[in-house]
Amino acid sequence: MYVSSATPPNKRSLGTVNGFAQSVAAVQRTVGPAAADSLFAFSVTKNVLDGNFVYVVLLSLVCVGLSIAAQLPRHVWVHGGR
Amino acid sequence: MPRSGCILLCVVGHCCFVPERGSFSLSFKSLAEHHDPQTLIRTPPPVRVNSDVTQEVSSETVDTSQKDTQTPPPLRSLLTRPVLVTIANYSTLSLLEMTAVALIPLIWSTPVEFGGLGLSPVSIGLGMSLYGCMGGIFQFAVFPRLVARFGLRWVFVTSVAICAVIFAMFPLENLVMRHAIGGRPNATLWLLIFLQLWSLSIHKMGFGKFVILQHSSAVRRRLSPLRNYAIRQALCLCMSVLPRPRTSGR
Repeated sequence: MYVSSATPPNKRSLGTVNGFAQSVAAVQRTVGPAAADSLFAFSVTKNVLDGNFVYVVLLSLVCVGLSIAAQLPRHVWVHGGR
Repeated sequence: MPRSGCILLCVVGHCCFVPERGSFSLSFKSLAEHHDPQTLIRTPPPVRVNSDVTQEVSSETVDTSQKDTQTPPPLRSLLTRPVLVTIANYSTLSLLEMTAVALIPLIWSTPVEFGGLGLSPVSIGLGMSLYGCMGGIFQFAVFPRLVARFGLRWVFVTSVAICAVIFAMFPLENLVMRHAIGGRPNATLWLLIFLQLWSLSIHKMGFGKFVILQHSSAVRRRLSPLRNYAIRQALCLCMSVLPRPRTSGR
């Protein structure tokens, strides 16, 4: 959605990019809960780090998210000339 | 292919990609107003450049309706750095949000000795409804002021960083629950739960950022179909996100 401000000059590519972004996000939404719940079950049953292994993984995931968020520009992208 | 044919193809392609029929004339008008000289002349060359030899040959043999589907540039050429960063951010935010929303009912209902809180379904339902109320109030009252004061980037980074608080609350809550007298939830636990839900509400503001950016860019360019599309996208997002806590909070 935010993509629209960053898309390449062709207006027709908007739908393609938007659809692609939604697909990627949908995959993440599918994987996320299943992976987190399984990780919690794994770290509790195997007693990895006293069952706290899942939180370590999730906190490192937050760090990855922060490093990606730091790539965002200070202002909205406006592609040249328009 | 003559240039006038390219232009016709381009116009037809534009109209075909309008998301809804009602805005057909609007899109045509906006196209003529805002994109007339540059786009119509500039659009065809990338198609030529990006399509390979086989596409070129096949495009000679197929009829016009099939050519329309070939005019958009390939996906690979669209994945510039801004687009990739945006998609990566959006998907990371989705992943974190879904992870938190899936973990909260699971961990709250897990027995204390297994690292959970052992809360009753009634308490979990109360907590989730509290989160719903707080999320709504935040989106409505706090989010616009924060954006106006600190900017969208700051809000987004905060909404990612606050996930660390959400996840760090789980072991803390479990620790409080282990030391609670009689194993019953005490005031400290409710305070931590409130903090966790408050963080989750702040985290939700990241999605508001995506919507507001789309909206502002649409308003700036005065493209009505695009704005319709943005509002529809926001609605889709809300519909896909909102039922989740209700069903998993059972």
